[in-house]
Parts: sequence; structure tokens; C-alpha cells
Amino acid sequence: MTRRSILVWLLGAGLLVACTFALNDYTGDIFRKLLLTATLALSFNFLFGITGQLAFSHVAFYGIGAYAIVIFAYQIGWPLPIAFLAALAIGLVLAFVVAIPSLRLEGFFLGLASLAFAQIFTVVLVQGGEITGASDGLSGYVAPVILGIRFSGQNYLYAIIGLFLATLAVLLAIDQTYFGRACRAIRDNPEPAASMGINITKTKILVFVLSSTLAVIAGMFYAYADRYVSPFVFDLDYMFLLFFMVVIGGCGRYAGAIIGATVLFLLPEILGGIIGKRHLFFYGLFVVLAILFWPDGLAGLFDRIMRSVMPRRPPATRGQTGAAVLPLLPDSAKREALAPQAAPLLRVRGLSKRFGWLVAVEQLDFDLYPGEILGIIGPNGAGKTTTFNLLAGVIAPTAGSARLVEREMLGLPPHRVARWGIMRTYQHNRPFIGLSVVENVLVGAHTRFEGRLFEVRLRRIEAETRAEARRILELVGLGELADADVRRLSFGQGRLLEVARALIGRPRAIMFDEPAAGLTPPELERLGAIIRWIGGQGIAVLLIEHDMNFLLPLADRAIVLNFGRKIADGTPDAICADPQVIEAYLGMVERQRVTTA
Amino acid sequence: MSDFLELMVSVGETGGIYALVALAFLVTLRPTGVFNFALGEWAGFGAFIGVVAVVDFGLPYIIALPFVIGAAALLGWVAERLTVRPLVERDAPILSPILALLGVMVMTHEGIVFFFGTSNQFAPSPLGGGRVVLGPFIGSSQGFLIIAVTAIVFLAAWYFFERTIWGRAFEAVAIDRFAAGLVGVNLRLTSALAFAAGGAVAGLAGLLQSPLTSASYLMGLPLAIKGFSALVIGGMGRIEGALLGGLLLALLERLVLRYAPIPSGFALGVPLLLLILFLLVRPSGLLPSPSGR
Repeated sequence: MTRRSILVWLLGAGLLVACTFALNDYTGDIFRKLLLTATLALSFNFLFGITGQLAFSHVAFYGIGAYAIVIFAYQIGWPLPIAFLAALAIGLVLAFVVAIPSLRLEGFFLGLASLAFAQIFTVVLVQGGEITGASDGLSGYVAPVILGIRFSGQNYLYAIIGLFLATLAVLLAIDQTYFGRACRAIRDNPEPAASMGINITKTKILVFVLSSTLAVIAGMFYAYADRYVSPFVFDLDYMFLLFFMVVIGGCGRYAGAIIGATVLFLLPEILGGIIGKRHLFFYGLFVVLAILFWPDGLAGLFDRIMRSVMPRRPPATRGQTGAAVLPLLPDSAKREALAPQAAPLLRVRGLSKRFGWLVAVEQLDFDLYPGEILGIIGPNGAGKTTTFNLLAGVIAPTAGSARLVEREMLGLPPHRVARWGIMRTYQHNRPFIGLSVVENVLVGAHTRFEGRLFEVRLRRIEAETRAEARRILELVGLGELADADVRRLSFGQGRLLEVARALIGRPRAIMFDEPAAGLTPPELERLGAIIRWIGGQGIAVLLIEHDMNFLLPLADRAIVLNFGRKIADGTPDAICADPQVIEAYLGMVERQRVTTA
Repeated sequence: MSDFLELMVSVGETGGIYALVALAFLVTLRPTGVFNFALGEWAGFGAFIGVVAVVDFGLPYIIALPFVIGAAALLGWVAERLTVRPLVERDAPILSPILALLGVMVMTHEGIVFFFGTSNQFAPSPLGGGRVVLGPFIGSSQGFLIIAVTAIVFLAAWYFFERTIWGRAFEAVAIDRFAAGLVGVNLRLTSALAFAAGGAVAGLAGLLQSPLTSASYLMGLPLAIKGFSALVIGGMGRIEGALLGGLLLALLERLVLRYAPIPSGFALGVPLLLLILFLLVRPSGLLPSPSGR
């Protein structure tokens, strides 16, 4: 932590504490509940705004925390620390029970399961008889004394301020690591996130459990706000309010969650006379309008105002980017030594995929050597991209094997394939639009960080990797754009970003899916040089390409597919002379002529 | 035996409602990929429009029925036009239209409270409230009506999706939106129709439900939860899945209520448990979509 950030935190804490002295009974009550709501909005923002998971159970977990501590500490009479741990344990177990079934699947199943969960939670409270106090709730318990300090009045306010700041600090600490990047990558574009080595299911489950646990803890604090818990505090109206706070404030932003919580919490207090009790109608309307016209929310509006008050020179994003700074090509001798004599890196045998009656890939055999650039060519529908998807674990093969240095990799999920050192780029650029250019590249280094969240070295590895990401961006010619918004890249720059993202993973092989498509001649030239350089580093390159002028001078070897079968395998010259290849391509030409005539 | 047959009628009654709500979710979800959480509240909207038409305006049921269906369909159409379409056309993240519809859901709910209040409103059954003996079956007249209407709606939906070119277009959009657009399916119209149809079916479900429990501002959410539970149980790939899921859910609820020694309020937990069980064990539902899709 730098000296400056310590100062900022102290300033924030001091400001909040200073506020408490200006409060009377009524405003003090509002202040406490506002802080609790903002705390809840912060943890919900991590789940919904940052990771993109739609869940309706956050307020229920808040209620679980509140009810659990009251039941354990007062109904049953356990000592407070044990009651605290028991409440935490219950929250954790329930979070896993909701998350594991619903997050293994894609889509909105978490939304459905968590909505049903929230509903049943209310039912349990109302039906809970004496244990939960039914619809009357529980009240009349006393504020606890911890270390001689009574947990009420001004002390309670300090505790809540502590809770708010601690929640913010925990979330920021996690978010500023690879984990936060992975969450945003999952939100923005799950498929490439998986192909960068991110275990999507595991990450989502962890985020859900983390944010729900933070809600449980906040709930335990809430239990002492009025020393009264009731089923109607934790109903779905509050849940929707939380949604609206995050969306209107600015999805995925900490400031957004806090601003949204403050504005929506205070509006009914201030405008109570005008809009009455049914303020949720207007909030629903605000949300629809915000999504349609104002997706950045109030935080985004604040940014825009600040920018017009204090205009900053935008980072240089226009014009030509710098030339690629490629280190000198390694001498050809090194490369020769790498290729044919070495054992193959990847040995594919009998790879087949059928979709129903349609044969996409049939009995495909090929070897890929370290440092080799192997082209895969063939007419449309020949099975090239299917082959990539099979190797990358995106689709399951019908039969066959693919051994990566003697270990079978076929059938591994995409994130495991990435961990084994196989990276890919996509035919259509697939950036993570919520991240800057350099952070996009860093997602590609995910496997380096995985599982090191609590290691002391993490900070150092992060700094080193960040420097490396910048070097790689220099190398592909995007150095000046490192901190730019990824949405401002041109198509060709986006393609280079995909290459950088694959490179930083220190792969053993990279699969390029039609990298030349849509590039201008100078961009093509640069891309060719980069791919040649990659091969020179001993990284194997698998290259699908339609542009023969691009592929033929580049490839060491090429295989030709037609209707899912390999019809030729050899050097580019040999391929061009192969009668079967000529027929496959000319055959296409003739058929096209017939259909157009 | 007669006890069992009576049970079957009451399962058909509640199951039919669940199945209709599930169908409403399904017809919207399949071609658009958007899960419309607002549909539960739209069912409540249908119920209250029914009360207004039949009780306040004294319209005969046969005229009130198309009126309710039309109003709910219009609501769906307008919501699609104003919130979903602009987002889809600017390629917003898939979560955006779902969130916008959450806003619409809360607006509908608050609108119902504003116009109709928070007290339950009596909704008459078109066949009177009595009990009917139909061969060996005994049940409420409304129950038989629900079973008949559910059967008709599902037959019509099946005919539409399997036998008409428009239904095939819906299916085509569900399978591959881009390709369907290329071969000339009007994506905008499909999307608007899907929302209107979803609204209409949900409104009909609310109208049919209201004589059983009165029209209440709280009826939307439980209906929504039961509808999508039925959908997950039955499977999202086919029309029949919604029907099967709805009936099965109702059957289990009845059995739990009758034989398990728990308070009746906990019967609300049955859909949740089933939902989680199915997500764990059989996420594709009992009737998965035909292979190759």
C-alpha cells in the first residue's frame, strides 16, 4: 500500500466519522441504514456489475446473517463469537447450495434459482414459528458488549463505518489482482476468457460465495441497527432497489454503487411528499431509461462532468501506431535444429467430428513440431475451424486422439487446454470490452496467477507481468495504446491485440484462425513478421488461412482439408503442385460458376 | 378412487396455470434469448384487467377474454418495442434487455398497486363457482375450464410451431438468429410477436387463476417462480416440456401438501427444491430438445 492510498483511506474514514457528529437521532438512523445499504450495494456490485451474474439472493443472504446471529446468540444463547461463526457457516453452506447447481450452466439459471431461494427464505421466516418470530420478527434482544465496549449508539456507528470501509477494502484488494480481471473477462466475453485459462464455473461460484458472505456479515451488523429483524425488511423490494442502485449508479464501478445507493436511498426521504410511498415505480422507470440512454450511470455522468471541467489530453489513439519492434530474427540454424529432428509437440491421430449425419472432420492425422508454422487450408466448410475447436476443447470430438508431448489433451475443458500451453486467436476479434488494452493482454497471462490470490509474491508477479505485457504490446506495435480503451482500437489493431494476448501466456503453440482476414497490406506485412518471429521463438504455430499470398511464403508446411478429410500434406510448393488440391479448389470454382449462371 | 380422480382434476387445474406461465416464458425465450422476468406481473395485469372488464364494466366473459388477451399482448409488444429492441439493435450486452425488463416488471407491479390497490379483488368464474361432476371426475367448474383452455392453448401452440411457416420461422430464429435473418425471417417482427404472444399467454394464465384466489397484487411473483420451475423441470427445448413440467410440479405440490407433515406455506419450497434438483441432475429437463439443435 502506498503512502498516498493510506492517506486516502484515512481521509475517507475521518470524513465518515466527522459526519456522525453532525447527526441527530433521526438523521443518525438514516446514516446507519444508508451505510449498510451502500455496503450491500458494494458487494452486490462485485457479483452483478463486475462479474455479470444476475442473482436475486443478495438481500436474502443479508437477512440470513441478521436472523442467524439473533437466533444463535439470543434464541439459543450461544456466546457471540460462536454465534458469529455459526451464522457465517450457514451463509457459506447456503451460498454453495445455490451456486453450484445453477452456475454449472450458462445463462440465467442463477437468476431463477436465486429468485426462488429469496422467495423461500421469506416463507421460512414467516412460517418459522417461535424460532424466527413469524411475521412479527424478533426484537427485544440487547446490544452486545465486546471487549468492554457496548455495541450501540455512537460505537455502533463506528462499527458500521468500519464494516463499510472493510468491505470496500476487501473487494478492492481482490479486484485489483488477476481475479478481478478474470471476473470482468467472464462478464465481457466468456468463451475467450476460458481459452485464456480461466475456469469460468469455479470463478463464478467463488464470486457468488464471496459476495454472499459479505452480505451475511453486513446482515449481522444490521441485526443491531434497530435491534429488530422482520421478514419484511429482507423482501424482494429491497433486492430490486439494490439492483437499481447498482445500475443507476454505474454498473461495475465502486463509486457507482456508493453514489447509486446514496441517491436512491435518500430520494424517498427528501421527496417523500411528492412521489409518495410508491417510489419503486419511478426507480423502475429510471432503470429502463438508464439502460437505454445512460449505460454508464451516474458515475459515468460524473466522469463526463469532470472531464469537461478539467479536460485531459486523451491518450494518443489516432494515426499510425508505432512499427512493431521485433527483436532480430533468430538465426535460421537454431530454427532448423528445432524443427524436423525434434519430437513432435502435438500428435493428432484419427481426429473425427460428426454433427448428426454431417461429417465435419474425418480421421485427421497430423504432427506439429516446436517452432514450426503449419498452415491448414481448404475450401469453406472443410473442417478447419472445427479442428481448432476440437483441439481447444470447445466442442467434444467423436473420436481420435491429440497428444501434447505424450499426454492426451483431447476432451480437456478449454481452460485446461490453455494451461497446457495452447493459446488461440479468433476469426472475429473478441476483446474484453470493459478492460483497457494492457489489461486485455494481462488476461492472457491468467495461468501464471491462478491459485495465487493469497501469496505474498502476487504483487511482484503482477508488476513483472504488467511490464512484460507492455513489452509485448511494443513488440506487436501497440505500445502507445497500452492504456487506451480497447473499444477505440481499429480492426487491425484488435487483431494484433489478440496476438499479444496469446503471446503473453508463454504458449507452446498458438492457433491462429484466419488472422489475415480484413487486414490492410501494411498490417498483413507486420502480422507476417510477427508470426515468423513467434515460430523463431520455438513456439509452434497452427495457422488457418484463406489468403494464399499470405500463407504460402510464411508456412513451413501445410495440410489441405476438403470435406473434413486431409487430402494433402507437405511443403507449400508441393501442396501447390498437388493435383488433388488443384481439383478441390478448381472444383469449387466450377461449381460456383454453375450456381451463378 | 374418486379421491384420486378429484386429485387429478385439481392437479390439472393448478398444473394448467403453471404450464401456461411456463409456455409464456418459453415463447418469449426461444426466439429472442431474453428471459422476461416481467411475465409473472403481466399475469397479474391480466387478472386485474379481467376484473375491470367483467365486474366494473359488466362485459360478458366471452368479450372480456379477447379484451384481456389483447391488452396483455399489447403490453408485451410495447415493452419489446421500447426497451428490448433498441438494446438488441445496438448490440448491448445480453444482460441489458433482461435488466430493462426487470425495471418493467417493477413498474408493472407498482402500476397494479397504484390502480387497483393492495386488497384482493373478487374475480367471478365465467361458469359460476360451483362444483361439477363430469363422468367419474369431480372438480370446480373453473378447474375444468382451466384444463380445457390449457389443452386448447397447447394444441394451438403445437400446431403453430410444428405446422405453420411462422412457427418454423420462430424455431429457425431460436436455432440460429443470424442465419434465419439471412434467409429472410423478419427478426424484428419475430421478436415483437414473441413478446406479444408471451404477454398474451401470461395474461390468460392470470385471468384463469384469478377466480381461484382473487386478483391480488402479490400473485405475479409466485406465478413466475412456478412457471420457470416448470420450464426447467420439463425442458426448454419443446412446447410439451412446459406442459409436462407444469403438471408434474402441481402433482408434487399436491402430494407434499397431502402427505408431508409440514405447514402449507412450505409447499412454496417445493418448486425451489425441484428446481435445484433438476439443475443438478438433469439440467436439460425431462424433455430435452431434439438432437442436433
